Amino acid sequence: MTNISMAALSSQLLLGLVNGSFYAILSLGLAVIFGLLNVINFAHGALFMLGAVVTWMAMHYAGVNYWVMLIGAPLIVAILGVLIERLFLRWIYKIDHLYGLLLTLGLTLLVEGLLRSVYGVSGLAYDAPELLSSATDLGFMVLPNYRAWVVIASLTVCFATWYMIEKTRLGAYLRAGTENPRLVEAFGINVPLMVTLTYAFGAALAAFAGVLAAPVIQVSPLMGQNLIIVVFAVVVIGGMGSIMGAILTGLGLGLVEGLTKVFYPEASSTVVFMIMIIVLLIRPAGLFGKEK
Amino acid sequence: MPAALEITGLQAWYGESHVLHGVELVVQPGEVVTLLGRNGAGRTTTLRAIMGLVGARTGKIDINGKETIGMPTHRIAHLGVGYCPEERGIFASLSCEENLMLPPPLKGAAKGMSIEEIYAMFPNLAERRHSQGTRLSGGEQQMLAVARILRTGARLLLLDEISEGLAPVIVQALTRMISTLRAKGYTIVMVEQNFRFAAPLADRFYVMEHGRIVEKFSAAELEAKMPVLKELLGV
Amino acid sequence: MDMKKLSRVAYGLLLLCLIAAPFLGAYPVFVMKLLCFALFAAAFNLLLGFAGLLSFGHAAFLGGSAYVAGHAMKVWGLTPELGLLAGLLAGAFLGWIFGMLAIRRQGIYFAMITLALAQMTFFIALQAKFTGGEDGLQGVPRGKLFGLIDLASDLTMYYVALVVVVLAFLLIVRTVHSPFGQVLKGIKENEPRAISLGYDVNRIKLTAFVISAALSGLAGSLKTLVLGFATLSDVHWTASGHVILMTLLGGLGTLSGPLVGAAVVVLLENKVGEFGGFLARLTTVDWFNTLGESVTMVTGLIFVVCVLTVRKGIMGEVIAFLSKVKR
Repeated sequence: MTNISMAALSSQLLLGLVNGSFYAILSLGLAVIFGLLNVINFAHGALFMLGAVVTWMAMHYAGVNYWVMLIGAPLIVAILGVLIERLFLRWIYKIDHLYGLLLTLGLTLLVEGLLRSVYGVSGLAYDAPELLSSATDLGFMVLPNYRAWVVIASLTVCFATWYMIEKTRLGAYLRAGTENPRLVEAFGINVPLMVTLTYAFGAALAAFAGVLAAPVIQVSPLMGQNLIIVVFAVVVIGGMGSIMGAILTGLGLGLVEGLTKVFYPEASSTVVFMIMIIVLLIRPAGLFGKEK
Repeated sequence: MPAALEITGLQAWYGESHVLHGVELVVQPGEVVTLLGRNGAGRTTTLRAIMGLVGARTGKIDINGKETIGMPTHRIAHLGVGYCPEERGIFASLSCEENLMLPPPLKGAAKGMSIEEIYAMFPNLAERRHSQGTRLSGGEQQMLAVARILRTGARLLLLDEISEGLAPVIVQALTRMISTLRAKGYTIVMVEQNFRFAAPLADRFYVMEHGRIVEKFSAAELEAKMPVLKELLGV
Repeated sequence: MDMKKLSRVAYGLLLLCLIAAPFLGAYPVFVMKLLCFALFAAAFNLLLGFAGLLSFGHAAFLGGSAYVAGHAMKVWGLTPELGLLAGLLAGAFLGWIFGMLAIRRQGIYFAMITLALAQMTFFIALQAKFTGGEDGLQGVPRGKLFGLIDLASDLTMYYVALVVVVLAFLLIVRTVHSPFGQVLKGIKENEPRAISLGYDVNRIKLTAFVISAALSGLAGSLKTLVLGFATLSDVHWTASGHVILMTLLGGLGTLSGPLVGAAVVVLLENKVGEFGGFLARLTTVDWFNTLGESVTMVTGLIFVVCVLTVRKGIMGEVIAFLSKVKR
């Protein structure tokens, strides 16, 4: 182990928090979709990627700036989410839900392949917006403002989602629908519509993370691929029972990954999976999971 | 004035399984009707079929004169129907009060009971309002299951085995509740195993067996029908 | 002619075609590659089609064993049959570990766990020295089978590979029809009932998983022997996706399905470039020319279409059709 300066450690921890923020938002969306639809949305990585790509396209072809796309990209991807649910996923509900995983896998390959054939695999450059492109000197480290923004924005969105689900009427519909959708429908709530909107919301969350990611990670058609598999591991570690659990697990694992990069870089790409193995041995339901 | 509920030639399936073979029944507004029968006769399935919760259905189900056989479940509810399932269906991820407030007011239905009226009728629920739904006792959960549909303005109530597994004192409370509702003009279809609970409350009875109605009679004819019932139900 | 006889005749014909293939103008290495994937798909189908377990991590067995076998034959100088054995055992071992961890969770979690574990295997393969990282493991020798038969000739290699694959396939058939296979099917159809009948369900599932992994490993090892190299693409999750597609397209839970599915997918991947060119000429849309590079997109499209429409798979539909016709 070499001498690690405070600055290097802080910098890596911040990066870990940034990645953790993405893990949190994505595992949140995945958990919400799985809870109500009982489908593992493999396309979540592709939706994340689309958020970033659409943001890039907006700048590249129409000069539309980052701040507009922060709302615009999630909206566009949400509409795509509605289409995916109505045109494709709705056929899966009557049959084994594992087909949902396969269907979304197919859609992922389709979308990624399509974009790859147009844009190739090398990254598309996207700069952080003017307002956030500088850094703040904190003394022990120089804080890139954009990264701080990513963490703050992510935490805000995660907290807002948690609040909406746990504390509001709409959230009560979602929670009840996750437990017993037919009964909720018997009370007069349009559950099929709720399902569509939930998927769209999950897609919007993923896309939001994608916009945040555009200046930080290389924008490329494959940027969601490896991320989604780590997010799966995050979800298995956290367990799908709790919203707060998904958020905390995502952030925590991002930090752990960051720390690993500092002290034992060779293990950084596999540390999350190793933690998953340990959790499976000790607490199969996941850290925050509720045994169904 | 159209019947509150009119079912003609109802057949229903769960997947490949043919469970109802031509159910016929009529309920007038303000009546309390009881569906009797052994386990597996198709009583719960009939209620579920009315709500559209089965696989496939054919036949005719009219609620307040409106054809509902092709309607999606949530629209049937908005015709003013309240459904209390056999398993009660209290949501674990919601508090008692959230469970109570969950079913929304039904469009085009009468005004439901206010939350104050409900808490007056079921003081236990007021006490336990912040507890997690499934932490309530069996009796309290049953009260909650009925209370929440009263809030919505539903006037046609489908109650499935509400007295099942409850202590006698709770069953008495339920009896008083049903009498009150009947006095207020609610239309009630009850599925009941507990004959003693159902008998004094109902205006008319239907008996089901193997997915069909095999007997029907009014409260006045109950005495005369006892031998038949003994045979059909093993009462 | 009843179904059993019909299928025996069909298999017999298939075998004859395969034996005659090199003399009918087929390129032996290509057919061998196809045979390896057919075995991979058949091994995978044992788990998904008959045990009802969707593993999303079978690439770990294909690729992991490919590296182990390759290393064994190239660096340790093992003869081909020992190299294949090493690969098979590596697959079994890895399968045992994955299985132990994944069987604890049901359905959907099972798939995610296997995927995550396979991804971990991928990263290990990427970084480990003995795999050669991005370049892969090159220069694996054909060697002499049993120290006697020189496999350098493609023709000799072909018949050896054919024997291996046929034997492995027969093993799968026997497993499916054995009492073990019947219990497995029982578990797939109604697990609670199987438990109530006293079966150690988890152990049975684990056994099926290990067999599936071992034979997948055999397929990977054979492929390394035939082609002379092992690469990261064998361990990448897309390989897991491809084998799922082969099985789904061919027909889950049928014995012949994976064979057909593998053939279709491999042929498709090789021919999609030509098809793209054809479409480009037909519609004068130049973009179709890039279809060749976009195997991913075509694969995705087939997946979507398959899940939504041809869920029984090609052989599933054929068998259903034949049963109806017979009546």
